[in-house]
Amino acid sequence: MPLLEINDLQIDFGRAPHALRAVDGVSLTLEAGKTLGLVGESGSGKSLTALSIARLVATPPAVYAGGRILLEGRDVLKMNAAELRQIRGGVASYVFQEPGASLNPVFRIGDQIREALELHRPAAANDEEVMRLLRLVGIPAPESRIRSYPHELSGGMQQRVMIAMALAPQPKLLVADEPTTALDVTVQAQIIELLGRLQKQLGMAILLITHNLGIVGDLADDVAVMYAGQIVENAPARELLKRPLHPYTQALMNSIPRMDDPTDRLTAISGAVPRLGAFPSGCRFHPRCALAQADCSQRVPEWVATGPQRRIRCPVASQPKVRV
Amino acid sequence: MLPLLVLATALLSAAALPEPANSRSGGILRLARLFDPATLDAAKVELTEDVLLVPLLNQTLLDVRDGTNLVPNAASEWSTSPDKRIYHFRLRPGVRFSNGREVVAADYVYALERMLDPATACGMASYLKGIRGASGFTARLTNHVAGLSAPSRETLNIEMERPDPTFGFILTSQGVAVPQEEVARLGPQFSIRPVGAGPYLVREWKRGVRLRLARNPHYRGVEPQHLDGVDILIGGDETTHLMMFERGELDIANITFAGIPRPSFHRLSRDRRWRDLIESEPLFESDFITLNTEVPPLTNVLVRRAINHAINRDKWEHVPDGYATHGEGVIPRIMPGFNPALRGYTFDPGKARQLLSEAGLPTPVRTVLWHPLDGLSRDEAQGVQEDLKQVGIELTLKPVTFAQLETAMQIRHQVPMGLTGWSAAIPDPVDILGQQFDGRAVTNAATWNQAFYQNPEVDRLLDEAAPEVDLKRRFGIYQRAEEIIVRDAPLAFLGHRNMYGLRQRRLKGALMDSLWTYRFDRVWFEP
Amino acid sequence: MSPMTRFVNRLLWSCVTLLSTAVLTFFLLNALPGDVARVIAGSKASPEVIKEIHAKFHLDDPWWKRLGFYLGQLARGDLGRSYVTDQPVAEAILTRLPTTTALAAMAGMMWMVVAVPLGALTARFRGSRFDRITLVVATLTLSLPSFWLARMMQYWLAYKLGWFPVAAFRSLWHLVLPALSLAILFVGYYARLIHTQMVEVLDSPYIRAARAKGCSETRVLFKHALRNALIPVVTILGMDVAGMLGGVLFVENVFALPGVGTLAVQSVFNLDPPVIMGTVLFSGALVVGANWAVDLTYGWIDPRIKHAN
Repeated sequence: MPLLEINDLQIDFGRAPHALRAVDGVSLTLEAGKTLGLVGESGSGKSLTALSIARLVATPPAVYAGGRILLEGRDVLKMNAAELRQIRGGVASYVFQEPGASLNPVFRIGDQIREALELHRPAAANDEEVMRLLRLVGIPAPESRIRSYPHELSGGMQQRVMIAMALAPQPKLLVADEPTTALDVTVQAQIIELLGRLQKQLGMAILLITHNLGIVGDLADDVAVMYAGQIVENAPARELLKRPLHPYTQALMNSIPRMDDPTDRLTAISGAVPRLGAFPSGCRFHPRCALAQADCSQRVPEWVATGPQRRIRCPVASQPKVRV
Repeated sequence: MLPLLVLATALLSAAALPEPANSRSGGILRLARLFDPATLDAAKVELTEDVLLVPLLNQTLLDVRDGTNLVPNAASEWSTSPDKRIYHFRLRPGVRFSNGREVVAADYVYALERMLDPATACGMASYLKGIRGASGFTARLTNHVAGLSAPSRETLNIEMERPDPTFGFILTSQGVAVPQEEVARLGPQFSIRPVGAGPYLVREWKRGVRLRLARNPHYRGVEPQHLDGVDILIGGDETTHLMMFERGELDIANITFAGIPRPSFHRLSRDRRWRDLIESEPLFESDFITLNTEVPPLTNVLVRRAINHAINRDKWEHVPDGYATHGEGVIPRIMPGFNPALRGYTFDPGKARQLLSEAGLPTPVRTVLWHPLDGLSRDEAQGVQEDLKQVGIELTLKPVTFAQLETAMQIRHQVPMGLTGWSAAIPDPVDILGQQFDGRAVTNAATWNQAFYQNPEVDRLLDEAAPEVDLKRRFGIYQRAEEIIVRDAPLAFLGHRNMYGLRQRRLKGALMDSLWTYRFDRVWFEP
Repeated sequence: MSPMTRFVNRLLWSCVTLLSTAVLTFFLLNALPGDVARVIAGSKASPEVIKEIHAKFHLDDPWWKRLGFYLGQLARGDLGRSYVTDQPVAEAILTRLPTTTALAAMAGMMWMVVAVPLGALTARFRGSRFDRITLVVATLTLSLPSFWLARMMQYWLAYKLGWFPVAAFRSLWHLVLPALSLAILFVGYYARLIHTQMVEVLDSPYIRAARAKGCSETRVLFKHALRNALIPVVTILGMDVAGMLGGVLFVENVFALPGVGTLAVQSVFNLDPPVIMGTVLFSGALVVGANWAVDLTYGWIDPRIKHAN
């Protein structure tokens, strides 16, 4: 049984008939101990999907219109408050994008980490364990750091603290929502490296949400690419980076500046991510797609397997002749 | 007749006074007042509300019952010479100050001299100036008042300059003994913690908060100590006090001169709980508007008479409601010497207008009426303003505090018309007429002759009446003086107040008194 | 600006504020009618005594001389003595202070005990009927005039229903109704203030992170959110001391409580300048002091503010 299984998740905003579907039939699977990268631009619905795993999305205004989220075989969407409290942190822990803002500014970091322990591992809720966790995430001089306030730490340190806090209850799944986006580039690398090391050490699964294809390669085993509320491509990470198939994925890859590329112009994907409720008909990417055909706007594309553990949602790109 | 009665009562003093039932039942009498007393020193007391505390803290030589009966008190017996010039007192043995020392006659001599001493600034000192040698002492020409002597520990003689049949009444408020050594020891603190021979002493006085009196353990007196103490709340306002009373937090509804607040009077008189507890008492008092005879246009007697005719005084005094008794002149109905045949000024606006036109002044006639700030005074002033407007007199109203009014009215050429009154200290016309209408008191110094009225004929009559021992002749002279005064109209005569009091059901005893308003030393709690 | 400079700056401005208060009150008192000497001596005093008093209290000196004399006295920490009771003004104020403090403290506790949960819960259930009703009631109560409310409470709850004593301060129980009157005036305002702060805080990322840790809603609301939301509230509370003074004055007078408020009112009726000045300066000092306290505690209660250590 996979650790996490999301089946056909549908999330709406507002009520029918004016409901806007922000997550449209998303399915993914994550095995214990593995890392799945969920990639997409802002507005793709990736964060909504990730937050739904512990049902952290506010309802209202969101509405779960369909689908199941099975965490260790139990449907999160049907859990009561007590069950949710148990899985939050106990099974799935989160690391958020802005670590500074995600730490309570008026409590010391030691107390905040200890709270995570108190909630799920009360026997270990003491300073020694907190310091062990701080050391685990690479924070020097934990004896004094334990009494620091969040604002006294750098961005990178704050993220380490968040990771420590997330790992304190010994979760099976770590959901990292854009963990490095708000950090300096050098620090980004450190954090990603830390996550990788921790995973090897502790064996938890990681769901990594990002728009940055670069960090995906370092950490993820598999990748799912999301666009406008739908997953458009699944592939093992290395293969995806070597050979992206879906036009969107390709465009994403092309827009990453390369060190060995002598050009001084950044390639952007033309057009913009469509707004909720203003999704194009048929394939949602077709207005921005280089390979768009006439009937791309007519038919919603089906899944096409393109190899072992690979599939895309594009009838055009899955044809052999358009392989790059 | 009066001296006979007095003598008889004095002789009866040896017999025990009827003991009130259930005396010494104890309990704390709870009262409330708006402001602190100005002083607790009997020699310096002036305000009516402060005077109420004198019988609690002191034991006067004589006391008054039922308004006009002089009875012995700290003096067990007393007598006067036939010409009413020399007063002789025998002190009751065993009377002690609250510090334990026995009161001796010399203490009275000291106390009275202290009142006459200008350094004490005693407001009532003028009532003592009839004692032989008093003026010389006050002018610091002598060291002692010749008329005061204590031949033995328990005998006191007071010799007047001229015969004075009413001096006994003075001693019911000013015949108070004071221990010299305590005055010397306490200095100005004596105003706060006086030492007296009364049934109670000051236990605690928190300024602006609370005044508490406790039993004087050394007290020996005619009136038993009925209470364990008195607790006076200082602060709040009339409305709050009345609410406290109705809720049982106070024992007497209102201890100010005003009595029960008028707006609540109708409600209380219909309330089953309270209506049979409301008691009324006429006072030795006169309400009037002083017409300053030295300030135009009031210099013209026709104008003054016109004003008297123009005011519907029974209406503004609320005579139909019982708050006041109709008055034609100065002397109230209950005062010995009252003239039932006196006719003053009828309410006749037509006559008023006629007199004004006779006066020949340019209309409208303008002048200013000063009045105290409180609601009742304001309402009365506005009523008078309306009435005078009807006859062609434009009155400007000037509301001031009571203290300001009192001060200003004593200054020459200052206040044209002042809404005020007079509470007699003695149930005899000598006070209510003598203090206000003596023309020789008109100097540039502060005076009670606030109309600055000078009529030598009145002066002569006042001089003739004051030492007159024969009451019939005495009152006849005063009544003649009053007639002249009424004709000269230095006042707009308004009426004579009645007081309404309300107490808790379980408070018994003779609480109200025409002269004192309230006597807290005469009440007790039903057990 | 270094902490030292800021401190000195603050101190100077506080002195200026208090000085201006003293001077302004002095001039206002000068405009009062009535001879102060007669207030001291009594209206029957002889002219010699009046003259003595004029000399003793420098009443005939030109105004600038009298002002200088008074300010000099103040500088020595001497508030003078009451003209009416001869009691030192400082002593009079200090003996009354406990009552006023007890009243204010009791009222403060009462309204915070109600305002905090109300504010937190209406923020949590924003838009609900509970929230809307609270808003209406809060707006109503904070619009009430303090004198009227105190009187109404006294009339209905003490006089008519007999649940409380009508007036005076005989026991702590006597303070409950006055404190309640004062509390009602502020509870609405603070409930809405806390509501607004909580709504803002509940939108913060760290609240979501707290939920993600597995915190119950109660813990999220009353530990994580409240602790942040109350920071500006505490400072407003401190600065509200000035606003409270007016309410305290009325409440004390209606209920005849022996506090500084009644002292102030009595001193005006008595025309007692030293006490009037004393109480006005006291209020000024209280407000200045409260602002100082707010400034200092703010650095202590909000770890993000770096203050002079």
